[in-house]
Amino acid sequence: MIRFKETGFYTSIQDRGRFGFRHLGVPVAGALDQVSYQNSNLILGNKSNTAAFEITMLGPTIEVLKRCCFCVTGADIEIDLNGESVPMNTAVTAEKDSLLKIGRVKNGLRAYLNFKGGFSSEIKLNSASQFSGITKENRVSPLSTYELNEDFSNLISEYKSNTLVSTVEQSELKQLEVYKGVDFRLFPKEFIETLTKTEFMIGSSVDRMACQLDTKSELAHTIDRLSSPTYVGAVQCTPSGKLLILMRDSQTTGGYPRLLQCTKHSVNRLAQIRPNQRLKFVLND
Amino acid sequence: MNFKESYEIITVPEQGIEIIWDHFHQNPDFFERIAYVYQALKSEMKTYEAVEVSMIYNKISVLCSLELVQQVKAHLKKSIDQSSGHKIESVHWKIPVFYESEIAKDYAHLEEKLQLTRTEIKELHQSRTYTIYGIGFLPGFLYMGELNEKLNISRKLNPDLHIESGSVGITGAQTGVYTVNSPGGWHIIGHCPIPFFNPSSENPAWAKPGDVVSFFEIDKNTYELIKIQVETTVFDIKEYLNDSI
Repeated sequence: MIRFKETGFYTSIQDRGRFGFRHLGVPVAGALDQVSYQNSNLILGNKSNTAAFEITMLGPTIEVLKRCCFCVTGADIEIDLNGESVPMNTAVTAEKDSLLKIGRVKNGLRAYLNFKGGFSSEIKLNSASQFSGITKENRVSPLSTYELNEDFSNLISEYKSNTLVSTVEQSELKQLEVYKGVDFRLFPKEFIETLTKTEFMIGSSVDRMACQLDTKSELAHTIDRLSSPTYVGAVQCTPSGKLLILMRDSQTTGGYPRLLQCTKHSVNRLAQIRPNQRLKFVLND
Repeated sequence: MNFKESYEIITVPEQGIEIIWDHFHQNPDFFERIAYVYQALKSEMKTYEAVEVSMIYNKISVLCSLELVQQVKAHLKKSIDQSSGHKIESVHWKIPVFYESEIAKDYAHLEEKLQLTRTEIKELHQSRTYTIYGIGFLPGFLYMGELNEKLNISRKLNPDLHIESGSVGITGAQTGVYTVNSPGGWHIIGHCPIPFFNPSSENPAWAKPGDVVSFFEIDKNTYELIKIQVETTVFDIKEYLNDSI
């Protein structure tokens, strides 16, 4: 068993996501950075849909009440096991009665803490991903405990950290690969200039629903349509010219027109972008 | 306008396709045909994993891999061709609303803006049968319309941070019931004691696009009774099908 002494800034249980219920308004949810999340399962030799803890900005402090094997992937973050620093992207064994302290993110935004064999948690509509109105809680709460699944296999996968794809980058200005969105054709032609030449600033709101960019008055418009389907990675443009990039918890329908569509890889990278960082769109044809 | 010539198929890169019908407002008969195409496409694709077919108003969205797009388009063309003269599977739900609930806190504002009394607002809301145009915004939230134009009011400029699950709201030509606690900008006129979404069930929602809904007023006692039925799980939504009331 593990017990959360402290939960950190925002820690939630996530997996690949919830599929098959989109037509009922259920968002896909799941780990925002699917690449780093899957790396954690690869490193531990877990099944690909084994749920992990998604850590944002500041990690939890956890009492380990049973010998286990864990790893942390994603954003660069300090990991302290019984007072000693341990590496990321590596399977680490923790003895019974260990104290695991995950610190502050140094680069990137979200890290994934995963256990070999996984842990038990509430499954709703075929997924462990926590989401308001679907699971009882939308995040890990203080003092909550989770049973670690028994896993007697000794096999740890041969994946080494240097062979893993990373979504966390050092560069200050991010280049984000996008396509034209479903409603691109409704917007004035001049928008393309602004979209491809301007630097955008990430706003202070970068939650699991959406990543907000700063408002550009050049992108203001009066397009008003019936509610439409939304897509993970869709870039909505509000009438005042603010861009909202939809993340995996966003609602499945929405009213703002969909100006651009991020590549799937861009969405994983966006999960690691912090408020006040800058980005530029690179438009694929 | 010809239904078969009024749509466009738009590629959603790396996601799938979206089908959009133009001239939707001018052609009230389009919706039933779109709902037919949606139901047909959904049933054709149900054996494929990782395919998600959904609809809202004049749009059908299909999430699928690139390899499946041609197949989806073939099924789409077939169901569009078959859509004339076909009746969709549609049921009529009669949904109870406790309009005198203390949760319904927007009457003062509505009475002033709409120049109607509370009784008139309640009666106008119950006077029509609404079409379910789609599900979205919240899990199990039904987009329903069209409201009587006398009830037309734009959404709140500053959304309320907390709207309780079950709240019955109106805005523009739409009405809907909040299915979970959430922020929201619609004006609240009542409370519905029956659940719209059950995440513990494999079939978590009972309604589908193309079904129709009407509302009827219940008093406090009936409201409390239905709440107890829901809590003790003796509640059965089938009792609210039109022909059994």
